[in-house]
This record gives sequence, structure tokens and C-alpha cells, in this order.
Amino acid sequence: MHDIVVIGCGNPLRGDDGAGWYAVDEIEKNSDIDKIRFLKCRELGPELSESLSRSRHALFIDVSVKEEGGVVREEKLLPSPPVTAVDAHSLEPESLLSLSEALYGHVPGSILLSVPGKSFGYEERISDDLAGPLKKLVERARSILDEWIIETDRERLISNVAD
Amino acid sequence: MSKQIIIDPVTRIEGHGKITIQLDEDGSVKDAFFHVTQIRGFEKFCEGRPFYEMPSLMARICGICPVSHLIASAKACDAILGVVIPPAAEKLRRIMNLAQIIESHALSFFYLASPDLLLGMDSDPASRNIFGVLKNNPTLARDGVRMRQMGQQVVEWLGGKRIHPSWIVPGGVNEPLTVEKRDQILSAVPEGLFIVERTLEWFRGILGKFGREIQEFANFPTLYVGLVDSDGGLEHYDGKIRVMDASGNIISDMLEPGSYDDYIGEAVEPFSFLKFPYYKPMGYEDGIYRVGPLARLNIVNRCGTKRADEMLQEYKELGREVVQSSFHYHFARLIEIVFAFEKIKELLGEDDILDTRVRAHAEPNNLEGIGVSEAPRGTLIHHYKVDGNGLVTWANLIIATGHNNLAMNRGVLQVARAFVHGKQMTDGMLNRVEAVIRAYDPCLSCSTHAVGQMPLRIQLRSSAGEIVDEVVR
Repeated sequence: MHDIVVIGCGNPLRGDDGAGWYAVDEIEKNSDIDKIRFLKCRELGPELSESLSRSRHALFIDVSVKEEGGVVREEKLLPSPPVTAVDAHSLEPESLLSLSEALYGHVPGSILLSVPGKSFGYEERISDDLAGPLKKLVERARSILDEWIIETDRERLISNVAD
Repeated sequence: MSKQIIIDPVTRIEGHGKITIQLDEDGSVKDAFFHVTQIRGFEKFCEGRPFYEMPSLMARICGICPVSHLIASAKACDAILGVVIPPAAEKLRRIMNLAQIIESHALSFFYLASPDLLLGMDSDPASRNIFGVLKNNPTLARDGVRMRQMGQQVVEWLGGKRIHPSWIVPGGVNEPLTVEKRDQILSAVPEGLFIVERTLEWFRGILGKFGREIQEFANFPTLYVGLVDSDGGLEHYDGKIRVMDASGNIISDMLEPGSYDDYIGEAVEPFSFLKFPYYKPMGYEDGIYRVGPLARLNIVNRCGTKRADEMLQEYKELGREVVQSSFHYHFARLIEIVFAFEKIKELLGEDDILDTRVRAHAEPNNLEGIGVSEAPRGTLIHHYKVDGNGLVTWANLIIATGHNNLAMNRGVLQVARAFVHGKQMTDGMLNRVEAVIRAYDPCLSCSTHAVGQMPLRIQLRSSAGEIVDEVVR
């Protein structure tokens, strides 16, 4: 069991859509792999709910097609069942958290980091415009993970002392 | 005034399809068609590529059953190399194929079909999904998620990743099995068997609610086609082709898979991009046949593992000579999951499973290669021709879903005639038309090699083409 799970979502064969994967690769370097589990997936399938249920924290990284400009968007996620018809292969992060809660009775504290993508053609590279925002996203992700590691270490210490 | 009902696209299947139901003046169903609206491309754009790239290229056809394409493609490449792969490599390929059958059948049964089975065909479409299942039967939902995860996990342990592993290569596999991985896989087997047995118990309990669907869901005589081993047992990786008729008579046996062109023809219809394979000796359309779990269990003498064989007897009692209703594809899938877990355990116990010799190396020795295996949905055929430099000059793929195309169309017509009455259009009525397609678990992305989203639009049109009514969800 890992304390933290980092999930990069997207398709690395479709330009900027692969930014989540590139970010995960970057963050994984020099990370404590005993405490953090790194996952890369094209879609958020229901099976991920089990991995989430075994984590204290979850960081989702994705590309947005809605936002403009090179801003890193940070959003705290809460479980929320889907309001529209459900695709069996692909869920929104909130729906996945809802599934984790309902199936396994646990939801990790979760954050979604996203950057706006521009180019989604058939290419295995991110666009030049995305490089800067992606670098900022990675920095912010590392900062969040550092905080979570300190927090989980403290909780574990308190728990051990209490025992 | 005659009318048309169009269900476009069909939901909870893999890929894009639509259904047209033609009504006569009285509102009774006159005819029905299942259209596949995607266009295939892989056979063409792989031309010019080196043959050894084919397994990786072909695996991209599908994200659900990439392992099936890897295996059929690698087998075609083995034939081009002219090699017999090491025994351990064959067993490892078999294990990965069975793992993928587990995850694919789990997806079909738990995610796509169980909402209909648990909540009923007439339930609110908004709740006919995994969340609806969760609300009404948390154990079933949890089991579905776990079962699919287990299949994916075995694929990942063997191939390094869950989707599109590149571990299966021409000549064998690119890495032997370690003790650690063998033990990881073995440790998952008891839980997998427990879950599928529990699911079977639940499924037996609800079968009684679906008497009419069992009666009307593509319940008609066809041929049944699939691979069998040398004793007529269940076979997913190799073996020979058996053809059985609706009375349970074996009309052709031990056909060479590589000679498929002698006995399988492919017809084309103007209303679909998916071809219509048929059994050549009986002609088009009398040569209608079914493949996949239902057909496989119909044609075999035995599964070859203890629990699966016991269940096979129970299964065969569902029909007189053979099981004809496509509703029973669901039951057949669960039995194949049992078989897959048992067989994986058996294969992992073989003496040479950890052998480090897992790949045969050679230059191309043949200019043509054919690879045939059983994918979750049925018999899969990859056929390549190469030039002297090993570059692909021609490719033909016959995909499991394609084999079932005639039967799916006839099934849609049967269900529509039984449940659709044109003077009123209810969701439950149309869901049954979709559900008969869903029973086959068609993968239209595979059979036409494209991908797409699946919203649903239902249109009621007048004979003049005017939209009388429309439902979008």
C-alpha cells in the first residue's frame, strides 16, 4: 500500500493530451517510490477505484481543453456520482472517487492539476506553448507531494505513539 | 404510413453502430438492420511496414483485446519466420490470452450487461450502469471491478503494462517468467475463482426473470464455429477449426485454420461497413454461423478443467442439442472465466514454465503467414503477405465480431418483432433491441479498426424520411 497515488491521464500519441504522462515521468524522478505510486492511463476506468481506496492522497494530472492561457489550474476534488450516462471505460475523477467511496468506503484527499492543451494532433510531443505551464505544474505537484508526505509521516508517528 | 425507428448509436458496446427498424403500415416490424458505421483502415495502412512491427501495430486496433491481436499477429509472423516457438513461450502466450479473456469477459458481463440483468430491461436508462449496479448490489459491482482488475493485473505482470503490452513478439515472448511473477499470478487464482462462482450463483438466480428474452434473443438455428484441440476440447490459442450445426452434428472437423479461405467467405452489404462472413459450403446467407463463448461451449466435448467441465454439463442442459439463444452468451462467459483461472493455474504448474528459452530467432523464410486464435469474442484471423525484404504487401483480418454479423442482424430482427410495436416507443422496448447486440459483446472498434464515443439517438421517421419523434440521451 502506498500513501499517495499520482495518476497522469491522457493519450501520449495525441500531442498535448499526453502532458499528464510527461508530468508523471518528470515527477517520478527523485521521488520516494515507497510512498508514492505513479500511474499513467489513457482513461479513468472503474478499476482505479480500488487503487484510490488504498491511498491517503491522490493527485490527478490532466490536460484541459476548456481553459485558455498558460495557467496551472488546481482543484480540490470531492466524490460526486455522475449526472449523465456512464461510459464503462471512462469516468470523471469525481465519479471515480464516488465509486471508491461506495465500493470500498474510503476516499483519498484528492487534487486535480491541469494545464490547457492546444494541439491534439497525431504526434508524440507536447506543443511548445505547453512546455512552460507543464514545468510549473510539475513544480506545484512536487510541492503538494512534499506536503502530503510530511502530513502522512506525522499521522503515522502520532498513530505509533498512540499505540 | 410506414415508419422507421433508428437507434443511433447503439450503447454499451465497443464502437459505433446503429440499428434501423422498418415498420409496415400497421406499425409491425417489417425488417431490421444492424449497421456498423465505422470504417476500417489497418489492413491498408500497414502495407509497407516490416512484418516484425505487425504485432505492435495490430494491437493498436483495440484497447480491450490488444492481447488477442498480439497473439494472432505474432502467430502469423511465426509462420513467416517458419519457426516453432519454444514450449515455455507458447504457455506464457496462452496465460496472457486467458488473462485477457478474464478481463474482457468481466467488462462485458459486469459493466455492460449486468445493469440490464440486475435492474431489468425496463429500468431507468440513467441508472443502467455500474453505479446503478453498485446501488442495488454492491457485491456484484465490487466483484466486477475486482475481476476486471485481476485480468488486467496478470497482463501487466507478464507484459509490463495493462494495455498494449509489447511482450508477445514474433518467435515467442521477449522475457521469461520469474518465480516472483509466477507466484503473484498463482496467488490471485483462488480469489478469482471465488468471485466467479459467487457471480454464477447470482446469475442462476436471476435467469428465471428473463424467460422471454431467452426465448427471443437471437434464438434460432445457425452453425457454430471455433477452435478445438486434438480431442475436441476447449482451445483458445491453437488447434483446428470445428463447425457444428444447430442439431449438434459436427459437419466439418479438424479444418486447418490456415486454409480459412477455403471455407469462410466474406459478403458485403450496402448498409454496413462490417463484412458478413459465412460458411462457404452452405453459401451466403445459409452459411450463417456464430463464434465466441456460446459457440465455443457448443462445439467442444469438454473444457479440460474440473469446475469448468462440471459447469459445461450444466450449460449444455440449457439447450436440446446445442444452446441457441444468444442470451446465454452471458452464462458462457462466466464459465470461460472459471476455465481461464483453472487453466492459468495448471499452466503455471508446468515444469518448464520458468524456462529462459522463450524466443526463436530467424530471418523470414516464408512470404505468407496466417495466425489464428480465439479472442474473447471469437475466432480471430490475421493473414499477411510480405516481399523478399519482409515488408508487408497485403493483409487480411477477420475479426470475431465480424463472424457474428449475420447472426447479430437476424437477432435484431427477431427481438424487434417480439418486442417493438411501432405505435408506441418505449425505452425498455428499444433497450432489448440493443441488448441482443450487447449479448454478443461486439467490438466494432476491432472489426472495423476505429474508435468512437457512444451517445444514443433514437429517431422515429415517416416513410418520407420525416422525423416523427426523436429521443437523445
